[in-house]
Amino acid sequence: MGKDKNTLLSAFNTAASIGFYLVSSVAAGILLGRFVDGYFSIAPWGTVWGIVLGMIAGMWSIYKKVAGGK
Amino acid sequence: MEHGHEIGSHSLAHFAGLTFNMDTLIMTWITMAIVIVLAIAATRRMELRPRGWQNFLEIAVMYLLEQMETNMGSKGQKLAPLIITLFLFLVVGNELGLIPGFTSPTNDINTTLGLALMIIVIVHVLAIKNKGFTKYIKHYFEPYIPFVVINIIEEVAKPITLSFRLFGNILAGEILLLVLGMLVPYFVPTLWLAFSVFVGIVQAFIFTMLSISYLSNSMQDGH
Repeated sequence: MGKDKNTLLSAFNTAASIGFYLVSSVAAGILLGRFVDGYFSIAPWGTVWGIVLGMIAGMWSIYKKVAGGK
Repeated sequence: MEHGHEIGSHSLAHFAGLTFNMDTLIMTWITMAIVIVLAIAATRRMELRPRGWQNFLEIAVMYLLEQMETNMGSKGQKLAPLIITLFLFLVVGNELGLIPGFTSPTNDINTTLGLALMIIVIVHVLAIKNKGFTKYIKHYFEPYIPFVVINIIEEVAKPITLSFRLFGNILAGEILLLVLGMLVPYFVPTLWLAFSVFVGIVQAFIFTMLSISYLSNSMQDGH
């Protein structure tokens, strides 16, 4: 298997997963936010901050994926 | 809605306070049986010039081994049986739903989430084992201490990404196949069927590749 083919497949893999990083990070943020809301009874601030942090986390993981290779 | 084809709903069985999706369970067993039969058929009469099943499996195994070597180095060889079995299970499972009368075990979120959680648990256990507990905890606070929240969200997002992508793709493929079969029978569903075969292989591949990439991060000694 040539190196080009490997690069192509891993590029395909990255492209196919980038959208999911954004969505799933926000989903994870909401999940954790709701848990924090329930635990500390501070609704809706946990969810709100969860969404914001989830968005940042999504961006951060894409940045790591694109810039760092890992 | 009890009769006819239904995708996304399951026949339930209750046992010891737990609910089982029986169709998923049976299809998982069938998939496991097919994988075992495939592996035996491919390795029973091995030849230097591979033919038939041996050829097919050798391509898959060689490719995965190569990917593991590139991503994890020689340390990754220990995980080869896990990764190869995972890939075969996913390929067979994804394609099983395309046969009339069968459904994919992977069209149930329980299966995909279970597989994803298995990978994530192994990732964390290996990370603690390879890096040591202190370094493992420390990597959550990198590059700066406030990043701990973001890093935790990222870790929680990992199984969600892995499981929902596979589940969504397979379930949507099967639903669309059914809907197209009702709306425009014969020609269009056949085209979609062919595309679904491709999607099934690609999704199994992506799940396996992402697992390799998560595992490779935890195999490194330092961060």
